[in-house]
Amino acid sequence: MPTRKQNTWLTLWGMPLLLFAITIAGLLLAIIGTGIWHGLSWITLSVPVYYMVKYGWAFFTPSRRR
Amino acid sequence: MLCITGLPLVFYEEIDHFLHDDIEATPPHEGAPRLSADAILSAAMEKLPGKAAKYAFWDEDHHPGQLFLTLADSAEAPIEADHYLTMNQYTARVLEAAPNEMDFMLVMYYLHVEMLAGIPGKLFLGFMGVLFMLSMISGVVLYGPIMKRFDFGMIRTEKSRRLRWLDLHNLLGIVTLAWASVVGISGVINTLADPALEAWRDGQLAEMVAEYKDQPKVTGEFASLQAALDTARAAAPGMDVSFVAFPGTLYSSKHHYAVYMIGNTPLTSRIIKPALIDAKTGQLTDMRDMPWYLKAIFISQPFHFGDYGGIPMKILWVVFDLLTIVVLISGLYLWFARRKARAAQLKRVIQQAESLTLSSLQEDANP
Repeated sequence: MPTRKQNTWLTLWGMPLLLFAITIAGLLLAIIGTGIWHGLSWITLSVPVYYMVKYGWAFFTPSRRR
Repeated sequence: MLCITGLPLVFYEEIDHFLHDDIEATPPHEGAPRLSADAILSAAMEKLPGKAAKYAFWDEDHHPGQLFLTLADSAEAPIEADHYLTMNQYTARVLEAAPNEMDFMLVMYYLHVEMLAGIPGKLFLGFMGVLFMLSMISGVVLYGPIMKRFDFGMIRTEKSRRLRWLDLHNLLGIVTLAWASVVGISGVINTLADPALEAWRDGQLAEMVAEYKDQPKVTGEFASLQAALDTARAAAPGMDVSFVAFPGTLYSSKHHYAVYMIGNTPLTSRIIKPALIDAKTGQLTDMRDMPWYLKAIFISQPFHFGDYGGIPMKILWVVFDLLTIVVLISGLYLWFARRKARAAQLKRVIQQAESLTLSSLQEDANP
């Protein structure tokens, strides 16, 4: 059972905001130029994908009913 | 529907290459010069006698040495009767005369942009895009209260199937939010392209050619196309020619070659500047930046199609698209599951209330 804690505004919205900003930055980097800018864009846009895989993985784990 | 038809469109270029043979314009010998646009155009007109030219395109990055021509019975003829010719700029020979018919990718494209229903279909999809944006906002509004007591990214696997899906929906939804907003907003902006073009034709374009207003459409022999290209290039140094619209077409006046100039960096190549060249005298009539609303549409296009960052970006685009499909489907599932859960809860509450009344009655009877 999760504890009856209450998140502060920053713990609640920190990660969503950070990933929002990272995604937007990634989308903009590739339009600045080619070459290095494209590379930076790919790396930046991979960050949100990484987090979705990292946390989303738990969805496929079998349930641990207690 | 939009997410699924959009999926193959991300790789439009690559799939198109795969479905059709590659054609290449090879010079007859090393260092052979390119022929003038006039020579190429007249060779094309000979190939399809009695037709009028509508548009001429170049794509130096992907198809060097090739000139794409659109011909039809007249410049005003509808797009369905267009003929497409790919010309070799070195020899003025026809490289390909593509049939004017829908292939798989074109069907996908038209399903995606207008559901094969013309401008009304397009505006309807724009409205759907607005609803998509609203659904995302409502999702963010719900995210706060639901996640108040939990850590970012938690997925409750030990509870019900519904909670497992809810947590996945919340995680993927909040992380894809930025991408889906950008693609959603730019998609909605794109659906307004037709009304925007019309506004530009009636507004700025009409203003630029005001002195020609009462003249009949230009007829007979036109001034040199190549000279018009050179004049436009001289008027817009540092820019390349993207395409030419011939007099009478949707993108020009009845009296002008409209030479559309684009910048030569990834960002400025989206800024289009038409130079209007009198098709009789070859003189530059006017050249202006397009109004802000057309600029907004052109700049928003790459952010919708994801075609500005090479293959890795296209792969990322597909990943985000697939994850957005998961968010949409899980959202739909949760909506149904919640209605069912609510009905079950109501039943439970009623049962509880009944048994409570029953037991209190018994208590009353046996004090």
